Amino acid sequence: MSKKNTVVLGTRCWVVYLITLLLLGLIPRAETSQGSQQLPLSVEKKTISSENSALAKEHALNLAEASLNDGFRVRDGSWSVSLTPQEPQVLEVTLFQGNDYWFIAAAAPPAIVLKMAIYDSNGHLLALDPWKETQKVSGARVAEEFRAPSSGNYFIKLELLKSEGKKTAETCLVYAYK
Amino acid sequence: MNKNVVSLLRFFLKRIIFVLLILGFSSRALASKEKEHTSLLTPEERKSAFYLDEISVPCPGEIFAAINKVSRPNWTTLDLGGTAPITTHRTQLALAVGVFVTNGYIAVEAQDSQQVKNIGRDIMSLSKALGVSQAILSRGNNLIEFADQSEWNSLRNELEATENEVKTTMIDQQDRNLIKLISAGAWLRGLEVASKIIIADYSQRGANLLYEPELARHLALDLASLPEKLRNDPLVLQARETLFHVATFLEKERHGLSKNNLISIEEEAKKIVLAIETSDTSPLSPPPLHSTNP
Repeated sequence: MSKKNTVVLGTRCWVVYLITLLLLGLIPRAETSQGSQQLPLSVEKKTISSENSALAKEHALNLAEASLNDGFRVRDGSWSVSLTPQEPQVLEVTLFQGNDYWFIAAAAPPAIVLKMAIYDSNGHLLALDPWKETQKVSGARVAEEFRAPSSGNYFIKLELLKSEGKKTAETCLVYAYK
Repeated sequence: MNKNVVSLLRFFLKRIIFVLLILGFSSRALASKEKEHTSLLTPEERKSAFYLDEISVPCPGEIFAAINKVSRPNWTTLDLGGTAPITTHRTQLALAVGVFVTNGYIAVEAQDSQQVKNIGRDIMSLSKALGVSQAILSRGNNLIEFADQSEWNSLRNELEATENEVKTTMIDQQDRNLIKLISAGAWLRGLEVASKIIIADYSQRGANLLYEPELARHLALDLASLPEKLRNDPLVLQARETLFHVATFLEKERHGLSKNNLISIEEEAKKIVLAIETSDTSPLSPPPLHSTNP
């Protein structure tokens, strides 16, 4: 192969490499702003009456009931939210020092993998979800046992990591305390 | 020919190694960026977090569970307040529902079945005055049944469920503004009782339990966002001022609440709770609000 042809081939290869890297997303692109999330009303009873929403709540409560044997009390209230993959949602809660809490979230199909994280009032990560699913249920579930180190407000972040067809999944979070 | 093949292979091999190095560095950079992203919640994310009355505001059972860990209060000696106030002011009725639900929790902690039943009837009469009693008729019956059977855990669940049922019915009746008043009433009464218990057996650990300035401020802002007619109601104004004072006070005392601090908080909370529980006997009182629709 002549030197000239080698150079031409080399140049074309570089072009191919750059295009490949772009497609793989390894060259950063300008981030598009998601737009400000509209501030929720401070009190709002969301009546999401879909079957999936009810299923998510049922799964969450079933798991929460298991904590009753350990002396936990499940709160009557819950947080129902539609999760889109890679678009986490955050809930603010008020906890008391010394109390033990179980946070349980369940997502109905087409959810496959759900993630939960707990943050303190300054936004520092406190705990990730170590509970491992032991039964096969439709959708996904996560749970975290947590002892509040101090009284104050905390944040629970839910993220749908994977769902079939990258579709939105109805999710429900409940919590128990003792 | 062989030489050409070897030089071609060398050519591609160098470029493949280079690309693999880029991939390696990039994935490490992405992984550490993701870790950084996960380990910190941004101020924007915190600001735009959902805040829902039914789950973001703690129920009285939670504070009492925390108090039981740091103190051994004699719940039976605590004042459970009087009977439900007789009034036509819907704002007072809503605040009173919250107060009496908290009284129910106190009676449960005291394991006083009779008081639980009395308080259950008070909640029913307040709900009747608000026009929501039909919806919670079964809840009232459950309270009485569980009290007769001394099922204390079930009672706690039922008290919270009763409060939520009243709120749900209010939403259905286009009366959602009163929900904020129920939550404010419940929290103020809980604050009064908790302060009193910790003062009686003071410890820094006990005092730290009450460090909830964000919650007090949230509740105060909720009242401040009510429609004008409700917002300017004298009792609502008083409740809002108390919540703002408590929030500001707690924010200043980040390093710990002293016994004197707690006494001040308890006195403020006690004043507003007393006002809520007082029956309306004044002939000069403003006309009742029949509807809270703006």
